[in-house]
Amino acid sequence: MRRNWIGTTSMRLAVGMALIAVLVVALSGLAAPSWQPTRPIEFVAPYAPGGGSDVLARTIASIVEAEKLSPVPLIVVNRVGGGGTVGTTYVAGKRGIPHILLTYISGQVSAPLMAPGAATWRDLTMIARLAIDEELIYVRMDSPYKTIKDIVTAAQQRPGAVTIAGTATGQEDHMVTRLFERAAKIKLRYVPFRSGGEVMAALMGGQVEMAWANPNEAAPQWEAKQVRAIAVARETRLPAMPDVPTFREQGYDVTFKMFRGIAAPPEIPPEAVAFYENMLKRMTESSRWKEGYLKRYMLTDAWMGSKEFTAFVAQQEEVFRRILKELGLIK
Amino acid sequence: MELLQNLYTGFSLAVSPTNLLFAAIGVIYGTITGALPGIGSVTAVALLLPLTFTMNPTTALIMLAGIYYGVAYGGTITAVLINVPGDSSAVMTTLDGYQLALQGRAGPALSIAAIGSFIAGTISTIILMGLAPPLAKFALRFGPPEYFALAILAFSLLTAFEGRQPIKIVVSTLLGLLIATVGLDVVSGLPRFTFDSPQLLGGISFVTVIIGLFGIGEVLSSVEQEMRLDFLRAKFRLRDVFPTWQDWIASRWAILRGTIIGFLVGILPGAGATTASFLAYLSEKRLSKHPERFGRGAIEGVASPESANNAACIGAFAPLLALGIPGSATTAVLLAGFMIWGIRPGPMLFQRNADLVWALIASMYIGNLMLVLLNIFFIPAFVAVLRIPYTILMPLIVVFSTMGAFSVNNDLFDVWLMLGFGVLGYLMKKLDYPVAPMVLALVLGPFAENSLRQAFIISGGSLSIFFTRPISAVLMGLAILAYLYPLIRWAVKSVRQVTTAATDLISARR
Repeated sequence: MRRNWIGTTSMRLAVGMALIAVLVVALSGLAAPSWQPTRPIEFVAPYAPGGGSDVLARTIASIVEAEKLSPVPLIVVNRVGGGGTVGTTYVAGKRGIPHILLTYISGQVSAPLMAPGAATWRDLTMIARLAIDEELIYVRMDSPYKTIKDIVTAAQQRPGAVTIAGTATGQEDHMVTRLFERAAKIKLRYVPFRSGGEVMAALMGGQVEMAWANPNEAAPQWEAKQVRAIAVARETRLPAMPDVPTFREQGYDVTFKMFRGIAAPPEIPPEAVAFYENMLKRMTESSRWKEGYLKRYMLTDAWMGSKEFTAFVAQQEEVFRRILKELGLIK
Repeated sequence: MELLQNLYTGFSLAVSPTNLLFAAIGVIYGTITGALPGIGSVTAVALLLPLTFTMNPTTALIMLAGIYYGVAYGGTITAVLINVPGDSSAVMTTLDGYQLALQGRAGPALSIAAIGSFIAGTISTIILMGLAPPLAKFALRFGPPEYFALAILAFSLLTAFEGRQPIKIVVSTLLGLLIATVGLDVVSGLPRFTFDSPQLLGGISFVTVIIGLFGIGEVLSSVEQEMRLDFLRAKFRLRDVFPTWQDWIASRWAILRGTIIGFLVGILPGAGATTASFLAYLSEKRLSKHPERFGRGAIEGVASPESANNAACIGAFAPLLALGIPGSATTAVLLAGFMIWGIRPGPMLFQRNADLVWALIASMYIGNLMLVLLNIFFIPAFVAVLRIPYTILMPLIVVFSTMGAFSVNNDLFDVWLMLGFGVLGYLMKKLDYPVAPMVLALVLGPFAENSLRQAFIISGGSLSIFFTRPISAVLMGLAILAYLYPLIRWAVKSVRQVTTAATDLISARR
């Protein structure tokens, strides 16, 4: 009797499963794009574990899995070095292979301008822009600087001697420093460090007068009121930091877009581009992305599809080229 | 009293079955990955980080911290047994550890490393518990000039390798410095010695170099040696696991000094466990009454760097927890973990998430105890590796070295580089060039170069920055003394000789 009961249940279960399976196949058939990945996707993060790109890649991989946005998993692989050029060049070498993705940020556009042999955006397929991170100037709480005007005045009194820390020469922090110098007609003393962590340590230890950081990088010290944010290089104030004025409000036109997006190897089929575009679009619509990523890391939603993103990157390259020329880093 | 209260809370959380289980998983996984060449603590922690996204943050942190210091234990095993450091912080351990293994004393070497690590881990946890915030603040006073002075002081310790031809030490050091300059330069932002090769833009990985120099170098030189198998056939007795009384006497101060050096270097956001182990070993050799024993199987040469690297791992938690600033590449991964779990480390952590901090600290005591027991218990099994015939063991080393080099960046390019450094390691051994100065230069080179140039940028090119800041001035003073030491010794000697001669003369007249 008992055995029979189990038998019936498992029979019912089997029929049910079969029905669900048919339904799933039918539904996915309706929405099926013309191309689907057939093996696990190698997702290259060209920066160290724990860094912004690494976190982005791992977040996307986990959302794609949780929301079942891809039939195959995304496997995050760190290929570190050369300011992102090592991993980027690796992906650029996988011509026509549609099972590789790459996190692609502003630094990967500027780095090849200074490093011959490294792949540029022309050697890749741009898939989508996802978000924009902000550049802010921070000082220690006990600093005499309260506004951008204070810094400009100091820089006029001590030309080229007011120190500002950031990441490696030629990278985003350095480029936005140049924009500030250009807008205020001043000269600062830029001190490059290996990582955002070292920049914060130098600021907190009073080794430098001020530093560039993203909201997320400085959040622990900012929340504890050990550092003060002077200005954000953005058109409007950051919703998460409403008390921090923009450069523009203070009379200096300094905006910088530190974007985060996704790229793939060159010459992959257009159907594959469409698949990834669609997958990422749906990913950015999830609450896991909005709450668990954008809000948590204080980033701004900035979706752009493949075409738009390609044009945007081309335009950014020209902006960066001009800045790097002004800095005397390229001819 | 409050401290005890907090610690009690911490322990009551840390001893929950789940947390104990994950502490055990962490330390065991850490030991294993630590023993595998190429997989250091950064990779080990990063690999398991995604699994913790949905875990309770306290449990996750306990596990990941366990991996971190577990790696420092595990790195010793292969360093002692097959002369291949499993982790970069175990490089110095190979110098005496492998010699001890050749003398049939692998057991005591491994157990003194485990016990030293345990003592260092425990003392460091006590310091971390009581003094994390003030120490972390102190560490921030180290800016570019201080880091440069520290590097210069470390380089001065290289003369501890005296005994060999000094010119060979210089050549080895310069070679290391040269290799360290390859890649994209942070200060100028431009590539150096990359020959337009995109792979070289990332520089030459330290791990690739040491696996090649030590692993493949060892295999190549073993090819032309007689089979040294006599000690391997000896039966393994239980007392061969533990250090002798003399070993204890020789190691006790080395462990304590290693702990202090390790912890102090560990809390600095710009230096790590590898630098700590170098400094500890070299200063131990400098202080020793019998420096000639080092490199020939001195047990304190194992005890000192092993204590230091463990202390440094624990020390690195001070700036992470108290300031939210990662003190090492591994704590940078942990910082990312904190963010993902929705917790901000830093000044607010001790107030907002006191439970988590104290559970972590309590788990460090427990984890270190687990590790020492685990490592000593398995020593007979580890040592059994030495009973594998060389004809099998050597190809195995090649396999592990290849895997290790590949895992650095998932790139075959690193494997070729590693093989190249293997040939270099063999040649250096053959021609009696010491390898350690090269490795030290590779670690300290970028550190010294970057901080020197940063200091000059900050000071506007003035040298005074190194001598007007108290910490930098003291370190520089020590370094100058260290460099002038041979000269001073010579001067004192000649003055003495003159005086003796004069006295002799005077007494002769009388």
